Amino acid sequence: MGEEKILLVIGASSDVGSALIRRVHKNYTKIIAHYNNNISGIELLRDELGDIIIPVHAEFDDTTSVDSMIDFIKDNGYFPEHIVDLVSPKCRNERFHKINTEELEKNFRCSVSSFARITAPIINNMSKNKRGKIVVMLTVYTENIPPKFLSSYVSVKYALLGMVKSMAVEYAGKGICINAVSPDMMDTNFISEIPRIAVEQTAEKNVMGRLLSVDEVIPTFEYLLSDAADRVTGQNILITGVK
Amino acid sequence: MTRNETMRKLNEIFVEVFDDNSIHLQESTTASDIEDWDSLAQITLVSTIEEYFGVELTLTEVNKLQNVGEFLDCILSKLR
Repeated sequence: MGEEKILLVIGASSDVGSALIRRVHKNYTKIIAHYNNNISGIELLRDELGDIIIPVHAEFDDTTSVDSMIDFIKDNGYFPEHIVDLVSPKCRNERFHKINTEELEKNFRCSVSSFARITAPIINNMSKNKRGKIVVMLTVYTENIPPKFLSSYVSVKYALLGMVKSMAVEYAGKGICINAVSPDMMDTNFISEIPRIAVEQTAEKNVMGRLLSVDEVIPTFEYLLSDAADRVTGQNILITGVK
Repeated sequence: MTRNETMRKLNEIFVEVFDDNSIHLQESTTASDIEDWDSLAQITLVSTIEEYFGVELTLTEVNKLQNVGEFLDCILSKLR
């Protein structure tokens, strides 16, 4: 048996998470697949790919739950060499003057604080090994002017972008590459709570006249996790579509 | 549902969406007559209308709507 190579996917039960794992699983000896409430998605992966998939549950609004996940990783010696973070707040339209600050705080806790809490002990281990890769999924709205009425969602994503860039510069000397992938709206379950007409408007604005598919986004994650991206760090790669 | 009944229900929907009891729609009412009738309100209006009337308005149809009368025409054409 060769050297262990472990991938941690945070938000693995999402459409993007499942597709990514199916695409890259052969590169890893273990994939720690975090899920929140969709165990069935993880069970499907486990049925398909076998024991390589190690499910781990955590509710990111609960620090005790996050800490249990970290303990599980540490206690089993599952220190990942690569991390992909796919957790995202709901993309809900609201006027800024009616912003729900409790929900905003929850979104920061679930997306930003939890990412830092989980990544901190792992990146310490990556530093010792002088290698590691972290890829965070953001949104195309982190470039230029975002659409109106998404201040909570956009703010959380900008905070994560700041974290990615800050971490990238801090750990570039330790052999760790930290990047972001920012796709336009994808045709996934994530959009099920967005009004249909708003989704259609977004699709119409895309140069392709449609939403991106997951398969059009996954290769960028694969690239950033590959040796080919060993000198790429601190980047936010936009995926907007080409006709 | 008659045009008048549909108009009454549409008025209720506008009052609810804009949280403004003073709204009294005319067929000639446009977005410029209602202060907060912007793109977000339009999405909320369309979603609420679709839910209440059990119809689906396409983006092309919605983009063409100029006033409340055209909203009514669109809804009624779907209900027939």
